[in-house]
Amino acid sequence: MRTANRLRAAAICLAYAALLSCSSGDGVSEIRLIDGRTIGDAVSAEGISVVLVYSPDSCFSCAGILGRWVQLDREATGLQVALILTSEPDEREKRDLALRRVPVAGVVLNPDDVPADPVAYVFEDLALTDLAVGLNSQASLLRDLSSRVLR
Amino acid sequence: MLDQRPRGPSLLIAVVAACFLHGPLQGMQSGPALVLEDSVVLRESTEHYLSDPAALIVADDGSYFIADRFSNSVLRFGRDGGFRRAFGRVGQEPGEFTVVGVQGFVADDLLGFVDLRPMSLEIFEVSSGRYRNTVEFAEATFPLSFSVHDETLWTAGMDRNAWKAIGAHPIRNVSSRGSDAVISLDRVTVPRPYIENPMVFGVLAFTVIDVSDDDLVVGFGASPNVLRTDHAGNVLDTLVFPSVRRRGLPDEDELASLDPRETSIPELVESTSALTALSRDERGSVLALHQDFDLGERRAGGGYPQQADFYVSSIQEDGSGVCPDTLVPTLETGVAKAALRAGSLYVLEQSLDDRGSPKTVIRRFRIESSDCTGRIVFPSQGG
Repeated sequence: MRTANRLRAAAICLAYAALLSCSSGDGVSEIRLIDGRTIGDAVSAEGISVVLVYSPDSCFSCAGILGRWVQLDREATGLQVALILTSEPDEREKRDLALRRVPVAGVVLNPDDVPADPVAYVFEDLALTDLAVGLNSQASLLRDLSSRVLR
Repeated sequence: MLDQRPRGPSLLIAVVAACFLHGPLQGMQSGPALVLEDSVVLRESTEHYLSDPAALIVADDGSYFIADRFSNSVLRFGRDGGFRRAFGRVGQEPGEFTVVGVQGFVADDLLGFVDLRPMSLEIFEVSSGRYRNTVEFAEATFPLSFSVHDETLWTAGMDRNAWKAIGAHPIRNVSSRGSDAVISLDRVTVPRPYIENPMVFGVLAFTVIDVSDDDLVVGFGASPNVLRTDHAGNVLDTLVFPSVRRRGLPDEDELASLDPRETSIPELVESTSALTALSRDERGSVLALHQDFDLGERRAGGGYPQQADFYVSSIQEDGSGVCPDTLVPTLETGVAKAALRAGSLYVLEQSLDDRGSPKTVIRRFRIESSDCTGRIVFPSQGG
């Protein structure tokens, strides 16, 4: 079990490295959405943008992460959060998102362009500066960003 | 935009009524009649709204305190549905919630709600919204519900060291600023399945309590028996709520010996009823709220969407007049939360209106323990 966890952690690290190296060519910003726009179009020109890319089947209440992102978006100045889905939500998922009042900024055209686990991309002044794959990593990213932009 | 005015029974209710207005099942004992008395649309705003309501508490003045898992705060709405105040926010400082729990209480000017990580009780002043104190729980103590009676905070839960279920603490001790009170449980022994089988503790960890001047009634998720005890926890009587329409429970021996290799947690959840609230009406009848949970498909990242059927039962204090299992009408599309207060049942539900905007409604039913017909009564429009 531990070996499997280590392998998984290593794989995530490799994914980080690959994505960050791609980002120098703005690879994340250029990931296409089904409506013809790109992830970059969800990024604001100034300040910090957090683009969350989640499966519509995600457990949005688990660990309270999405709620905490939404709170940060509401409370922080100079920071905005956008939720992008890895596929079109079905009726139940649409309803869940609507009840939670989380607007969806778009749906990626090709799910293979993004990690299978929930990912948060951080852009500052349009440049990709950080990312967190998985809910636990996002919890620590949230703490770091909160301490920077709140209070 | 959400509806801005509370309204009486609406088309929504009429539809629900049409679905549920049926007589008692032939040949079976019926539960208490439920009479719809009120239906209030909460006036949420873009600033203060419910995204993931986890628990509902109704105060003496009829106002509603609702824990929201998304914002990790507790929102108060007046009995007219108007927003009053938010308590706490996400965070790890005093007066903040890392994960707000479902366990809370309101007593006069005090609101307490549990933070699950780490387990603590955050206490606020209702009138000002100010944070008052944080109270810790003794080691291995899991609070599961509260009741306040005569200046005493009664905590119902489970102490996994001593296997006790109930604790009593003067409320001034836990609510004073800077108090280092620790809540512990020291009376009423936890039923055997919890002690012998960790899986039962994991799935059916519900301890509920109702307190009167003379006695306590105490119930557990994994026991069909409700205990009536004196304040010291000595058992005076045992009341049994039979399961007629709801799933019920396996017997104690079976629960205690369940093997997780043969029965998965979802299977146990979906094959049992959980006792989640107790109260007493003005006649002294004991009212019980049971939930039959249904889990959807496991979600990405863990967790299950959860829906539940709610059942209300009543039994007279001397054990006679048993009215088992009236199914509470709820929308099929929503996840409802329900609460008991004295002789009333409150049901909170969220749905989308015609324009796709979320709407939160709380309906109040009077539980007629003397009318054991299982009827659901919706007053006619304009009546």
